[in-house]
Amino acid sequence: MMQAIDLLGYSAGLIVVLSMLPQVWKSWKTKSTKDISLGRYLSYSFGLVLWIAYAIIIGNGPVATMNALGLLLALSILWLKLRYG
Amino acid sequence: MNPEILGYIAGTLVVVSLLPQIIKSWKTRSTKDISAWRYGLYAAGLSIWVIYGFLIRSWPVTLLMGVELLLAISVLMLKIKHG
Repeated sequence: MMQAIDLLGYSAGLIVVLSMLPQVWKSWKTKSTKDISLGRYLSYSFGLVLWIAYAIIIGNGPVATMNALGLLLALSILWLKLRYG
Repeated sequence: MNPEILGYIAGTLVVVSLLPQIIKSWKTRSTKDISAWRYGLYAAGLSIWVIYGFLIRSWPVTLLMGVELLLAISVLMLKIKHG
């Protein structure tokens, strides 16, 4: 059974991951990304890849899944940045 | 290799990845393409994570998320300042 404290950790992770959605939406709508740092999303994506690898090694499925979702959103922003410059 | 080391490298990289955005926004004084919601929610999530790290007595998590929170707030402040 999931403890209340685990729930707090997962909520925090989920909010952090989902916080990228407004940026994906904004960049998609405005087609303008010049103020977004390429280095930010490159290094962030790379960090998330390492985090997924870490979660898989220690056998933590929820953390791996959450970071995989985060990576997907980070790559979406990266793709929009590369597209719109 | 101890998997913990990989975890620390991953966590540090995620935290440090905020620096290029702070430097860029600080230098260009232009943040209109950055979503305020992105950094507002990000800071909210990180605040909960800092509390979580404190409650589970994990000092690496608390410290790492604390630094990430400070950096995220810096971007949010630059966004509020430059619009």
